[in-house]
Amino acid sequence: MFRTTSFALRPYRAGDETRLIALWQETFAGLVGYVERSATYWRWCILERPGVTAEDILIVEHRTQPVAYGVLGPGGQILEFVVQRKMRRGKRARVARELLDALEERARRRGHAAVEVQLPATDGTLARVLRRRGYLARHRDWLQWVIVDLAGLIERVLAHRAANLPSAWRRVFVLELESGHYRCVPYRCLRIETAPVRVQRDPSEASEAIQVKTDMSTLADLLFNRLSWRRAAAEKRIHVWPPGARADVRRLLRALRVTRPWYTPLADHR
Amino acid sequence: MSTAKGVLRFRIYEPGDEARILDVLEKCLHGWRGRDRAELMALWRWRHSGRRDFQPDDIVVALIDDEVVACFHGGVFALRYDEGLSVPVSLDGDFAVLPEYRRSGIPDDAHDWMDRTLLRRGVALRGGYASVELNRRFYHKRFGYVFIPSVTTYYRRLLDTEPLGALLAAAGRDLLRHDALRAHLAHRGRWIVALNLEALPECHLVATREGLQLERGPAERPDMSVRLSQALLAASARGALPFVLRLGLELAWGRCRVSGLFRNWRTVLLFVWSMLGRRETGV
Repeated sequence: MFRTTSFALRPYRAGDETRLIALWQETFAGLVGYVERSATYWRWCILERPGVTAEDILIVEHRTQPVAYGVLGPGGQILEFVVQRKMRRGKRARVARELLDALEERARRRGHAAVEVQLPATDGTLARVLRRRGYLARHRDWLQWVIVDLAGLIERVLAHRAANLPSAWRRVFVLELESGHYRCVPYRCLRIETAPVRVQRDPSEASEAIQVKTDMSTLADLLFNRLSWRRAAAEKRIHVWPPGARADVRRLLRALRVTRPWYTPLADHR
Repeated sequence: MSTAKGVLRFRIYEPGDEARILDVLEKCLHGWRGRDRAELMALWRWRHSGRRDFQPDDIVVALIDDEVVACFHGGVFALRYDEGLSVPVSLDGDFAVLPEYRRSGIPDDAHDWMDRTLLRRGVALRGGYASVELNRRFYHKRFGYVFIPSVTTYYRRLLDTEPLGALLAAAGRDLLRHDALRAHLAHRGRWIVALNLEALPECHLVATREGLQLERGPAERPDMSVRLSQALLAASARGALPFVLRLGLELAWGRCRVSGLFRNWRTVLLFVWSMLGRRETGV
């Protein structure tokens, strides 16, 4: 148990979710790739999940403020494990250890043969705590992705990041798409205007625009950081006309791609 | 659409489909088998129709002569793509096709059908759960699915000896292919090692020429005793160097201890020799 009285461990109480969601959002603010935590999603994902009770949600409080929480799910999965980042490293490690002790004890009482959790590798403090306790760590990919609506994605991302683009950068691109490994592509051609952001599906005219020819698989690889521009160009998986506009196409792709570390907690696995 | 087995058609979920969908899931998916029906129904309802933002479009069923022969489930969520930006994504799962209707292109058609629906709903990305091997063999080539490079690290710690027993039994089958070790154990009979693993119930390893077996409880007359930490077990899966470094630390700290090693040097040596000749399997 905690040596100081300022920390306390307790199970979930009705109404805690607002503060727990705020703690989640603060802790994982620098990461992407997970389902946004709203009260509706959290209640469904955690509280209403079969096999999870209020006693499986353990909260560490510091002077009545939650600083960490963990949720033990069915089968010994720790669905969410959150420890506030603002704390000093030593204190943070101690809080994590105490919370793990409590979650493991609960898992033992429920007859689970093992506990498992998914955390971002970028959190060195928690990685050290878990390795020292004998947790076996391995990189794991289990959620695969495919683009459904490329035009919608480009529109949203470009509009969101428009403020980061130079105001004088007004370009029109025409993207001609092959299917690659995709079974079908809903549109063969997209016209993209950068300022103001406008994406047109299968446009009727393509004159005076920068022409980009590629396929959906290559584009997905470029947006998801699986392929570098240099390699895509060297392997002739992307063609730009006029050749002098390559820098503009690179800038467009940089503005569209995933830029933050991608993380998926076990809770998002249904 | 006509198939050899009848006329195939797709439609979205309708209330009352639950029991027929569960039948298909139980017949096809390992995780749905052998469980209480009421428990399965509660799980299915929670995942799908009981979700507040559930839409009938989230589930597609394939019918042949009005019999449900396949089902495909999704769900639309807001995925964080950047700071302050969420995009609607569909997280798919519970795909099942009855064995007798496989190899007739039902998953391909269902995938296209759902794609069109998701496009109408403004969904940007579609995610699905699969192993790396299954992705390479099937999903990438067929539909273009890829894994986004992530920082997600999976951690696991044992709380009971049961998973270790299964791994040791599998490792034993591998190790005992080695003739010299098998002959040595046949000559020796039972070789018993008392195991004291950090935070796990007391157990002992019994090695015979037939295989390795982990038994619960203390050993009566062990040939050797070993005390190990879970950190050392985890290091063994990371490769030889992390294991040797960790072993040195654990021995220095007194968290790892072996007694009876010299009395059993021949057996231990044969096990190590046999291990060097096989592919590494982590605990």
